[in-house]
Amino acid sequence: MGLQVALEPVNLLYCFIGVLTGTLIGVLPGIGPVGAMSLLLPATFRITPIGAIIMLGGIFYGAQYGGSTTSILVNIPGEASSVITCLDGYQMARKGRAGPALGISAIGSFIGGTLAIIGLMFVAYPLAKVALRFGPPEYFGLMCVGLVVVTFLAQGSMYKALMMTLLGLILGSIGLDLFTATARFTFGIIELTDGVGIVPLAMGLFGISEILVNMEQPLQRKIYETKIKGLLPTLQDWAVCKWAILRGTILGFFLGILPGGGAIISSFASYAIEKRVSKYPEKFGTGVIEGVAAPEASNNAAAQASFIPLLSLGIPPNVVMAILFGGLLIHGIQPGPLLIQKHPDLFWGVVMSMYLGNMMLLALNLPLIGMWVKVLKVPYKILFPLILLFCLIGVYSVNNSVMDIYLMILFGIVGYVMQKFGFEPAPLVLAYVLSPMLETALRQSLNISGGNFGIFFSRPISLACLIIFAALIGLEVYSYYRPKRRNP
Amino acid sequence: MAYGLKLGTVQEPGAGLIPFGVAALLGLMSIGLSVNSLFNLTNEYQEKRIFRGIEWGRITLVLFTLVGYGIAFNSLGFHICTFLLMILLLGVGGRLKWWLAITLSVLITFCVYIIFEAWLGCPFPKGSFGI
Repeated sequence: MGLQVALEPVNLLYCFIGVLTGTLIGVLPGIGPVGAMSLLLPATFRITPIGAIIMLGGIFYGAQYGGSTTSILVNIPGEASSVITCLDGYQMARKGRAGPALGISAIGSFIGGTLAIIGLMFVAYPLAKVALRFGPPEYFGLMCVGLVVVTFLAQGSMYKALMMTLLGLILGSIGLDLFTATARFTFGIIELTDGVGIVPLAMGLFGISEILVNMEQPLQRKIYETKIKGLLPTLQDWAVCKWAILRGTILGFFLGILPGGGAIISSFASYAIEKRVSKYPEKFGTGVIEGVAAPEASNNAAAQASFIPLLSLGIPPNVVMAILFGGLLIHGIQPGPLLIQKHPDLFWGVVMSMYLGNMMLLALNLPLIGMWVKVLKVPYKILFPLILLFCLIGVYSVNNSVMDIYLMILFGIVGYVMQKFGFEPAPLVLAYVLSPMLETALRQSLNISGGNFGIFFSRPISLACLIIFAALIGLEVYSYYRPKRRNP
Repeated sequence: MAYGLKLGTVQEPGAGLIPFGVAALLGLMSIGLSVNSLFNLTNEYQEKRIFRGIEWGRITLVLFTLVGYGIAFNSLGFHICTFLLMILLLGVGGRLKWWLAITLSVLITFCVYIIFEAWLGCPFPKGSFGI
């Protein structure tokens, strides 16, 4: 069934558009997959839900492929998950080995992605069956863990990330209360009775704010001028990379499933592990091919695996999946354990299209490297007006409301100030998406138990989640206040 | 504001309970962060001028252009607003030559019309001029 759905010409087209756009987004610094997905989300309203998810998903894992191109050639990561590829990838390019670096990056991503999809097929369905036994307390516990893991793994201050999580919970409560239909924080503005939309929020925080940051300085890009030849790695390269790719894939798969995990964390962790197990760790950072292969396999495996909590549990594990979650809701599909039963065509169609998407990406990223290099040369002073225009069109077309434009600009300013002061937007967006579900789960649990909080501790899964939650909060508090080591 | 929405009881939480609790926690954390940054209790802060050396003109131009786009959107219509937006951002923000900025603006406006209005059928306002 899945292959039949995925091979429909129109779905193949959406898959191709998604991975092509994703690769382009990944190649171009300045806008990430979240911004691109929220930009294209309104465009999916006129297509089927399956086509929409195939396309949006393609953007996400396509961006993982494209991000490595700029990391290797320009030493500027196209995506956050490609930051680590800069370390050895660019050094390989400087040594005249840009071709093998690009080649192993694409092939490693393909292997990582394909193996992760196989894992997804075996894990998602059983997990969904288990999740059917989940009640409100279990969902509350899981979502709390997801939110705190995102703050724990934040690149900046965990304390500030936790504050952003709380702010996201408040933003998610704007609109009509689900239980009492009371208007909350709408200030008499009728457009806010449905709450703040995810599109203006995400576009503002990730799209507009990123442009404002880039406007601070003139953006100069120097592309490493070298002829890219010999994209296929040598036999010796394969000999050293095969285990690195496998290790990266396994690590990325498990980190991708975890709430709060994802492609960024997995790429850093994978690099650290390769350096630890290598016979020549001192060479990492000077152009070691395993330093490219492992993170790239890992980030792509994590990208595929992060679909599992969304499709099986209905809980988006990271901000990208939160956008997809919003997309499914807009199309009238409720993500959750019943999704696979009620919409098997959507689930298996998306899974099969991931196989096809990965094959398309291999074809796009190897022979078409020259084209992506030319794209990199488009001046940012022409790109940024286009990005702004697409943001405006995208946000207006959701509700045909100018209020959404103003909200996007407001969140753009907020996002800019947040970036300057070191507050990350990802925890805010994830908390915003989870807020209604979190509050519903909490209030339903208290209704069931008659106000007794013991319900969260009497059920094993909920108890386990809250123990993990408390442990991570404790670790955050400890790391914040522990005495800093001084250099001798 | 959350307090005014009725907190309810633990057995039957009201509309304001969760927002009030979360806001209170956020408020406490904000105070903690402010105190820490003022007195540098955890020794992690160093003075840094984060707003220095920034091209404020370009940032202000982008913001005012976007707000102006929103204000004029219904009255001038989508196409005129898009054309003016592109000219300002390309010509003033991007500092392109004027003839190039105008040419690109016309081209972009036309492409956007073809893709979003003609092909995807997005209903954009025509404005007072009916364009």
